[in-house]
Amino acid sequence: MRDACRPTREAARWCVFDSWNQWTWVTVAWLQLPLAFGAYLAYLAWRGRRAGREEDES
Amino acid sequence: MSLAPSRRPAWLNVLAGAAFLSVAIGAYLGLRVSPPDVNQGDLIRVMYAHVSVAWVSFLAVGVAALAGIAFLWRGRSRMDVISVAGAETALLYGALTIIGGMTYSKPTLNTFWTWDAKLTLTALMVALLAGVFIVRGLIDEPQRRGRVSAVILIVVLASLPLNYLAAEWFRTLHPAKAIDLTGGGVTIDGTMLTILLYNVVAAGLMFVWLLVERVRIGMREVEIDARRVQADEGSSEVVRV
Repeated sequence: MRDACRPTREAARWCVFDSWNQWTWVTVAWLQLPLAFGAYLAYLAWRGRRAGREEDES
Repeated sequence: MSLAPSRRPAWLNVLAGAAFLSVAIGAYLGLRVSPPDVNQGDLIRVMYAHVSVAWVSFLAVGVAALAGIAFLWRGRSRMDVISVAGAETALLYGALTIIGGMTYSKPTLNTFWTWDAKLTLTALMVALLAGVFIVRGLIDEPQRRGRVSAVILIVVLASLPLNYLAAEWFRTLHPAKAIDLTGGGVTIDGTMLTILLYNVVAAGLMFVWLLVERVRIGMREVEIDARRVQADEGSSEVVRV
């Protein structure tokens, strides 16, 4: 642990990542893809439903 | 007037399945099959996710800007819909590039961010792409809205060569390119290169699917708007009579 990361309130804020190992970073990096694609697909589904409603009204 | 089909065509479902499957296989290759790097260890596995979305973000900007140019030329709303769909996916992939890059940079270079040319140009690209949607929200007239957003997208496209070469031309924390298209050759292990290129194709396939799906919805919206305008004009004529 770096000196700057001794257990203080400041360290809790800035040094939380020091305890992450390589596989934690790898997991976080790859998890971003399903999260982002999933969120965008949910947005597209919402837009599609809205278009369907407007189609029915028109 | 016939509306664009509201039901998703079968071939689009096949494309969706292929996109999901290829991304899943890419993840398996990157997480399980790839050997660890001699310097970075297992952190090299972040590279497959980061570089693939970064390259596809460039592709998405290209599609958006070219469709924008076609819209400026012919003024067809279909081109504007494709341009917007490209810009939306470019924003998605651009944001993923930045967040993925930060996730890669912190454990390898001990910093999430630095304002050097490469990173700043990428942030500028994402900011301009977000700006496209802010500007579009402020303009009601469809032709003018399309023209303004097309011009912004052309500016973003013009910044891409500089972004690509920024790691060579300027001092930067960003690593040198492992695959240099400007004559520097390939400086990456063969297995890693194959897995990287596979992930680029998988991210590209996902982009194509998202783009087509977004264009399909966008065309429906354009036709609904056209119907509404037609109906409004019809009703105002009735009032006039």
